[in-house]
Amino acid sequence: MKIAFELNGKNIETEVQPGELLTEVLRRLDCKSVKHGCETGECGSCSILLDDRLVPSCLLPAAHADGHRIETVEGLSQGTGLHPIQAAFMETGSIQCGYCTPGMILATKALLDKERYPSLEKARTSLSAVLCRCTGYVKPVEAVFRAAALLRGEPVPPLNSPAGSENKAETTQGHHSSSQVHLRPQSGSVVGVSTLKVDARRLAKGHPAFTDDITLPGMLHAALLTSPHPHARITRIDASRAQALPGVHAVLTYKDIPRVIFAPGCQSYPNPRPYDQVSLDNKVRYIGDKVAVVAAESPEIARQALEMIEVEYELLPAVFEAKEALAEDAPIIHDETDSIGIKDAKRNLVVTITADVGDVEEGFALSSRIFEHTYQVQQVQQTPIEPHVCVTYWDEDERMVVRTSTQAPFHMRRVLAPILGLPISRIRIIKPRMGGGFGGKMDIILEDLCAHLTMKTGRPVRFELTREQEFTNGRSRHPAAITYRIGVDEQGNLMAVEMNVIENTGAFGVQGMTVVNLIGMRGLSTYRSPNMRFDSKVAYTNLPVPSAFRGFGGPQAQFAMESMMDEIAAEMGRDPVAFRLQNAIRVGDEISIMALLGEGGPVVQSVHSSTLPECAESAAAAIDWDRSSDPSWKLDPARPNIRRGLGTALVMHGTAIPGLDMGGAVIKMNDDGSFNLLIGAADLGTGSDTILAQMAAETLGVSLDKIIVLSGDTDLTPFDVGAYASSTTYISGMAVQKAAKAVREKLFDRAALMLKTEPVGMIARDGRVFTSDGRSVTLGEIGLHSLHTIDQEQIMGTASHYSMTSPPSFGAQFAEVEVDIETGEVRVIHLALAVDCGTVINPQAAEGQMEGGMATALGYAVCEEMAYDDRGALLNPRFGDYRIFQADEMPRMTCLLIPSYEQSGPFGAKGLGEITAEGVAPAVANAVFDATGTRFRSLPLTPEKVWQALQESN
Amino acid sequence: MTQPFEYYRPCSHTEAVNLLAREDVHCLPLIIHPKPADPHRLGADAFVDLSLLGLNELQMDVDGTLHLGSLVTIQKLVDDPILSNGEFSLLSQAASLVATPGIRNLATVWGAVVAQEGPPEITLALLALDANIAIRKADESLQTFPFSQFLDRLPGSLAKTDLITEFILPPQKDSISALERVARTPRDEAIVAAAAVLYIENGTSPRVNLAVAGAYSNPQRLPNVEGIMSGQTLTPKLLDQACSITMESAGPVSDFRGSAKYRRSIAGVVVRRVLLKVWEQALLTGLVAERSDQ
Repeated sequence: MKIAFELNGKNIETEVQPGELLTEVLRRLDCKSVKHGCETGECGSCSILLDDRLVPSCLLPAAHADGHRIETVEGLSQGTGLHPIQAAFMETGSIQCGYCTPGMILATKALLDKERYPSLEKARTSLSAVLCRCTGYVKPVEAVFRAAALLRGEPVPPLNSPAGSENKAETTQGHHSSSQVHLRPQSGSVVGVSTLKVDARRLAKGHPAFTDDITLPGMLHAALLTSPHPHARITRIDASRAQALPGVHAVLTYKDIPRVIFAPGCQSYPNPRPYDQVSLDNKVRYIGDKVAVVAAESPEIARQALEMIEVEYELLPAVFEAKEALAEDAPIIHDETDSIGIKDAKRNLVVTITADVGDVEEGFALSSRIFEHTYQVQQVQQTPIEPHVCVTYWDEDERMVVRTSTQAPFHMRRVLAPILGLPISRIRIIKPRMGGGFGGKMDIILEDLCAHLTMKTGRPVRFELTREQEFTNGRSRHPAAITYRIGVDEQGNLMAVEMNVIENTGAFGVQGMTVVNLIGMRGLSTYRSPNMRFDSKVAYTNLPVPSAFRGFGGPQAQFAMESMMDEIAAEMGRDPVAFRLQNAIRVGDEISIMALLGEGGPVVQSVHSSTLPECAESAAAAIDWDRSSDPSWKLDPARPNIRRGLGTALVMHGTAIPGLDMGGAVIKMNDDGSFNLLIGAADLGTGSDTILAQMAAETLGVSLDKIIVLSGDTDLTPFDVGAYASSTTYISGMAVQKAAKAVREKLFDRAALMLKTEPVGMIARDGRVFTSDGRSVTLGEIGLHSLHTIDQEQIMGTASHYSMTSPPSFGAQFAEVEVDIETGEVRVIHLALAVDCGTVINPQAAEGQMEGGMATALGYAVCEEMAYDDRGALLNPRFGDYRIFQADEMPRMTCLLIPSYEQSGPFGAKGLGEITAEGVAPAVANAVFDATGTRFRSLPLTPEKVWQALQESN
Repeated sequence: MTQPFEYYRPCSHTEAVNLLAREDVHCLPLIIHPKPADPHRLGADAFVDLSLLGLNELQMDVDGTLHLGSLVTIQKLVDDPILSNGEFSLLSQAASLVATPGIRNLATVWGAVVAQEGPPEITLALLALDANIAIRKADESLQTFPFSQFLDRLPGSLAKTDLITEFILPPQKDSISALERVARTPRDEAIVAAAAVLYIENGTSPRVNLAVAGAYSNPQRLPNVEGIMSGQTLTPKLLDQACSITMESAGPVSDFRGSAKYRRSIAGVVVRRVLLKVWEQALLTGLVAERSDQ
């Protein structure tokens, strides 16, 4: 039917198809700012203004728009201009991955159109229409107030806080959140400065930057048929009816594609075992497992076709708990004969890893007290707001192009090649802007099937998971049971630490070995002990598949270790902070366990930089730690059911994988003195493109706008392992710095030629090269001279970097909670985190990482959990039921950056992305203990769990 | 069922009924719930948009009776000063706890009360405020009856062609209301919630309307508790009694948010709290003179 409506001030008439939703039509009309994040309106990424009201457009039939007025972000500004709200979001650092940004900007507009002076409560409420997994909402709330001021014509503070300054986002309505950045003298004019992100403008304006923001001629739409059974063999599958449906171009089942066994993790070569997966199998191993895939002219036809595929199953017994799966009589999940590298498939045992430092038995013998506890951590989901999505097509040279939202494009190309039966040289991976990843986009999820559909049809194919499929076919964090046995001498020194882990890796073993390895590494690194033992088992079960997730084993390990340290401190009557610091690893110490559990092989690691004691001191002060010893503070006379408490956790997280991670960089100069920075690194919203550009700019003596970044395209950029292991700033950054230095040398040579002097003593600054006697040429003059006058050359530099060291970043996390002892509700009031990540390259981006990391970890602590029924069916595969925190329920957050200087890192930097998400859960659990006197050894701290424990303790 | 759906926007009740009555296609009214479903998964061959039928009005009679059109959005309940500043503030408070602002701009009171799952606060508030529901039948006759009866018969309360037209709430003079809830996070769907309205007629003879969600498979009034409270001054003993009756009579259903055991126990807690809250507010506002601690 034909509908007419007003779109961004213009009258539109368009034909809409039956079943089309408003989101789809708006995107078809090139309003790519309207994003798909779910099908139930809960994420708010598809938000539009419908007659001035913010609504999620995915809930509305497209025809509903008829006669209405619609605004999207595309309508806010003309040409290269910016609306004040867009400017405010850019300037406050509110844009990380940027996927939710258009929705947030419209939510802000809806508010500010009505209220010139919004309250903090209203700002938070308005933003609660849109879920964000990156920011923790601190900076978007600041953006609302900055935008309001801009719209009122008031002056706003400059973007850059002076070095060592304090940035408190307070409003007249109350305290919001704050950050403190202590910058070291080595900070330069670009490095160490909060800058606008290089990609902020395109994201604020909703430009088509993401994977799904293209439409190719003849593009087909894919849909996935999934298993309704947790464990079954497909005895009959007939796709003929589906194939015959008009508009269907291909239906693929296990019969239609070659059986190639692989490990889907995009990890360094050779991929860690096991190789236990094929693109489509004749067996399903969890509810949601892949059964068939369809490519059709429209998403509606593809969905219809799925229902026409006839499948008969032979049901098999299923098992969901790791311990039960390891039992002798458990159903065998991987009974195929072609898997490679499963430790003991008949016992569902994927791998065992053990490591010994010293002699733990001797250590226990020397201990005056021995403590032992087991901790349970749950399965949680990364929930990037952009689901897994890819577009595949043959290019003009008949090479397979895979445009996909991946954290590791180069690994993906290598892993995908044998699956598709194509040489690496015939595959190109393009990573456009990513709408978040958090580790969940490190595996091949749908790229293989999408490419197979293109190979079958010869047509471009678009394949996107639904939100429900994102929960079941995407990835998650491994659940695990972690037992610590720790011996302590009379002085409180750790004499022996034994760690036993049983990890549940679901139906496939992807990254299961890596994660359990890192659970051991993270769980045995923060504290000194001469004797350590690590023992682990990874089990298959009939559950959806965990894999990498921000922290990569760290959150599991740190919850157990930091709860354990708190228990020991309490039992021994020690201050929890002092006890930890007494045992904490420090500068000069060797991290013994890393030599045994290092992914890149045995590499001895030592600590060369740390401000952990200062972090602990600062964060303790920020949370007012002394209140913990004040009994009167813990009670609220006005609310006798409330108990208050404070908790802490110290965390460390190694930067990059030593001996394994490598990144390359290319910098080439243009005629006007600008530079193209080509990097294989994948900015998944962290701001790494900006940070790497800052390093290049600092080294070359130019402003940031002279650096044009292209990242993550296997044809155009140099190799990089990708965005994981907190490695990009450290590894890719050093590659950029090296490449920039190489370019700088060439600039000096060229300037010497132009100025008829020698390059000795030259410096690059303010877009010029200066000789030691004060003469100078501009980089624009050098660019023209080098490309067009004499001795022409392309000034460029290339470099790569890998590191045999993995310098740990350190953090001190504190939490303040209130516990309702009648209902078990835990409300986190304040989170304070101090981090040593070496030199802070971009304070605003660093704060954003901290705020977002804490927000994710807060969900891990109190509410997030993939819940299953007794058949292994996921009970909460939608945002509202799963529950990630929204803007109007966030606690106050304080971020403190207390840098050290890491000699091995670029400009002294270390990693930051993951450590921010590791301390909240134990700090909250320890705070609940402080409030109630009851220990909690499993996550999340749901009302019922807390209530039950309090009942039992009474 | 995922077949493409058609869309209609009738201009009259008759036209709407004719569409909904069609046998050849499965027509559903376009009603958005506060816990919305994917439109493709509702099994509809066609959606009938009722937005032109004048069901989105909110108005108050001179005697204080509130007429709440069935398609009034939940966000309007939050924003409308008639509600947020007056004797129906319970509705406004309840609405503010439901869904996100964007969904609240689409979801309607109709959607909230017919939903088999999702946030219960709107339903609780309507129950506690003694709402009546008006349903226009296919023959254009209008049936009005207590909302609690409608809930008792769900999901069979509505024929295919029935249109909920409005909710009629009696005047709430000399009343105090409150809502209490327990959830995983401050804005999460409630595990257990309770709403109470305390009426004080002539400064004495208190009467309480009490509704609870999470203690049964659907939100319900608690007549047994209301009965023991009627005409009584609130005392700790009476509160204990109310709490006990609530827990004993509860028939909760377990889900991933909370077990039946937990819900049963917490229902007692929220009932105690909500009763205490309305009573203390009544004391503060002078609606009742003093509280007995007998």
